[in-house]
Formats: sequence, structure tokens, C-alpha cells
Amino acid sequence: MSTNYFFHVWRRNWIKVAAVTCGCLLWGFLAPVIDKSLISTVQGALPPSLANFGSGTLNTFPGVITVMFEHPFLIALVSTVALAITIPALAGQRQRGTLEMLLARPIKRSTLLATVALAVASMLLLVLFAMVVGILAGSTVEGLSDQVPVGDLLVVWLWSALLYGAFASFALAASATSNRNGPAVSLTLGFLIANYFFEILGGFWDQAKAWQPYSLFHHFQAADILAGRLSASDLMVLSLAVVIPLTYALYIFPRRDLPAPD
Amino acid sequence: MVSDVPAIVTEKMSKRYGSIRALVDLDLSVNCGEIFGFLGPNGAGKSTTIRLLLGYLRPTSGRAAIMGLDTQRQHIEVLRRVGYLPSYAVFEEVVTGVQALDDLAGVAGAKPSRRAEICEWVRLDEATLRRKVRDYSKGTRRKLGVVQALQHDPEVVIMDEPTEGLDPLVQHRFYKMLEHLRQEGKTIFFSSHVISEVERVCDRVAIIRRGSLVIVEHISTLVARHQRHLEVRFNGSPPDLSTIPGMTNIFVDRDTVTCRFAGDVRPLLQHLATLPVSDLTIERARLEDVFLELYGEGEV
Repeated sequence: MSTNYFFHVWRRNWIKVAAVTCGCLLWGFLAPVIDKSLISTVQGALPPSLANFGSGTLNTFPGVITVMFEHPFLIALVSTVALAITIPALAGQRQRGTLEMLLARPIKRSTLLATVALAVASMLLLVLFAMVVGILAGSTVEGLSDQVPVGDLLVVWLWSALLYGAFASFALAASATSNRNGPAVSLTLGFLIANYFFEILGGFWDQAKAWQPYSLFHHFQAADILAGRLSASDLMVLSLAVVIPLTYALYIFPRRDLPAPD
Repeated sequence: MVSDVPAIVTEKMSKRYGSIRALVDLDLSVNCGEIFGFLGPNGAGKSTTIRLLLGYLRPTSGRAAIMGLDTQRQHIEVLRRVGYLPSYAVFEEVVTGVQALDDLAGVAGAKPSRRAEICEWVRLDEATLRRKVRDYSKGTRRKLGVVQALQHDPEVVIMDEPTEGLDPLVQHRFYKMLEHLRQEGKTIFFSSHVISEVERVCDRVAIIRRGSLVIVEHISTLVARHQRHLEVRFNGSPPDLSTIPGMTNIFVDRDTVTCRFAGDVRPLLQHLATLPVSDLTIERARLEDVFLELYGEGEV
């Protein structure tokens, strides 16, 4: 890893990361508030067709936390880090011509890519940790802190980082193989939307449940983790989803030709 | 001190893109401490050669070395000793000039020991460096490009169209700076399609055409070997000059004869001394003439 470049990536993106961190903090804070207001209103008895959202449900607090982690708002927020920082770091720099300047320095392409991966991973961990802090703060304010064991919530944090890390890893691979932002963004958004579609569709329509395991979102079950039920297969799927694209990117990026930018 | 090892060597270096041959069996040797011109029109293979030297591209066959280091296998060591000025040096827009230079020096892990001196050469003052790059003119961006290429005092400098966008005064200082660097023993690989500046600053030149090397020669030798342009005005109608060895392309217009001449000028002058000459102009061949002849004017 290049320490200088690591901090360079952070310096270039700290405003985005700070904004997303604040957003995640507020979003996490809302989870106990929503839960408290729903539970006190409908006594946790929403019909499944209304309560179910992906793998989550609005009828239980852990279910609400799952919904909050899979909600399009959080996906959009975290994608600002997972996609909107990752893709411009390689394909965007290729497109602008700044990568040319960087690669004229004595730094290996694999080091550059690994540094971007580490910088994005640290950013993801930070913004998702803000979400956890928000949940804990909201739980304390709403008097629900006994329902969220801190240890389990930290596991949820790491698991969510794996989930979004998988999308960031995919984005990095797309970015490493592309000379422009457009194709990398399209490919990654397509992958993200397809995963989301499979997961959400299964939540609303029983016949589509069989498709849910094909979605990465399905392998992040916050409710199960908070109940102490950890799935080794889910962990393996998400870990592979991080490792495979990253390995591909580390293989292909140092070996590919970089013709002059258009 | 100038090393015995050639600064840049390519051996049968080729690059193909599918069926397109971008570079064919390029054999080059650039000596340490020389300014080496690399001439060719757009698409001839100049940028491909530079990108192969810097490791942006991998050769289809052949190899290259800089300061004795293989550009593929010892890529990082090569880059430690090289400065590169791309034809379109691009910087992040939102940072100041100083930050852009610091960032690049930081990634390189090299002290920008010559920054102040190079800034002075290209007239890039501190106030300008403190402004955001997005406010820079094309010429100022170019100056910043020159500084980033040289600030870490590299042994070999590869420049692609270096004076594009520089005003004539800065261009003049830039040429003087190159001369200064040459005297220090630095090697400069100077790729350009501006023939006059290559002729002005370079010791030797390589001309590349459709990916193949056409010629590598000292500029003075190349030019001396080439035909001079001759214009002779006579008192009265001109005599027949076609009998003089070396005369070609003879054109007569009233009392004036224009022609090309190659070879030793002494017999020519002796012959002309016997004729009623009222005026004589002999222009030495320019690199541009050589270039056009080697290329064929239709292709340029």
C-alpha cells in the first residue's frame, strides 16, 4: 500500500465521506424511532404484505434494522462511497488523464489499486459505523437499548461492510477494466439493481423467493445476526463476493494496456 | 557524469493491436547526455513508443531498457529515474498548483529538489502556484507539466510535444533549460511533430513512419547530406547549368535559375565564377526538407 496515496484518496473525498457519515448517523438514529412509533401504533401486527421489505420486517426491532440496512436511501448513501469514489479513482482518472501522471511515478499499478481498495474499505467501515452509532443513540433515546446487544450490532456493522464491500469490489473491478466512467458505472449499477430486484421481489411475491439467494442482499440478515444466529454460508458468499472481483482487478489492472486517453 | 550505458535502448520492439501494427521492430539507442529528437506526424507511432518505454503498454515482441533497466521487469526502478511530460499533462482541477506537485512528489516518494529552479526556468511564480489548477491557462498548465516532470531531478526525461501551448518567450527559456540539462548529463527524449524545434534543440533525430523507423542520424549530418536550395541571378539570359554535377530540379525564370544542389560546393562556385552572375543565394537544407523527402509530401 502507498500511504501517501491512501491519504491522497482520503483528502480528495473527505467532504463526500463526511456528508455520507452524517446521513448514515441520522438514518441509524431513525431506526429505533420508527420502530417505537410503529410498535406503539399497531402493536407489531402489520400484515406481512405491508411489513415485509426484502429480508426485513417492520414488526420487530431487528427486522426494522434489517430494513434500514437494505433501504434504497441507505443504498444510495453508501453507494456514494462504494461506487462514486471507487469508480472515479481508476476509470475516472483514466478518462481525465490524471492516471497517466500518477503511473509515471514509481508506484506499481497493483499497489495503486490495493491502496484505493483499502481507502474505500476504511471509508465504508466509517460510514457504516456511523449508522451503528446512530442506532445505538436512537435506541438509548427511545428506551430500546436492551433490545440491541452492542456486540451483535458490531457484527451487523462488519457484515454490512462486507455486503457493501462486495459492491465496492465489483465497482473496483469494473473501474480497473474500463477507460471511462460510464461503462464502469453502468455495469456496477446494473449489478447492484439486479441484486436489489431479486431480494425485494422475493419479499413481496412468494414465487420469487427462490431467486432471493442469488442476491447479495439476501446474505445480510441483520435480524438473524442480532438474534445471535450467524450463517457461515452467508459469510462465505459475501466474502467471496468481495474477494473474487478484487482478485480479478488485481490480476487484470497491472497487465492491461493503457493506450493514450481519447 | 555521462554513463557508457545507453540511456534508452529498444530492441525489435513491436506493438500490435489486433491486425493493426502500431510499431514494428523498433531498434533505437539513445546516448546518455544527448537530446534525442523523435519525429513523425500524428499516428506514426511516437506516443506508442513512449507508452511502451514507460510501461503503459506491453510490447507484443522485443524489449526496451532505460539506463540498463528492463522497462517491463524493472518497471519501478525505471520510473524512479525517469521524468515524463505527456502531450496532455492533466492535473486535478480542484487543487492548487503546489498541491498537485506535492501530491505527485508524495506518490513518487521523491523530494522535489529542483522545483524552484524549474519554476524559475519556465517563469512559474509562487502566486500562480498557489492558485487552483482550474484557473490556469493552457500555457500555465503546460508549465506545471514541465515542473512535475523535472522537479525530482530525473536522469532521463521523456517529453511528448513539450512546447505545445507555451508562448514564444517561455519556449525560448525552455530550450535554454534543455541545453542546461544536457550540460549536466541528463538525457532528453524529445518527441515532437514541430520539425523546427527538433532541429533547434536536438543532437540526433529518429524519424518514424507508420510504426517503422525510417532513419536515425545526427541532425547536422542529415542536413549536410541533403540538397541545398540554390538561386542564381545572371546579367542577361541564364546559361545551361544542367552540366554541373549535383544540379537537379532546375527551373529558369527570365534571368534567374533556381535549383537543388547536392555535393561539394567548390566546383560549383568555380564554375559560377566564370559566368556573369549578379546574385547568388545558397540555403542549407532544413530538417523539414529532409523530413518531407523521407516521408513524401503527400503523406504529411
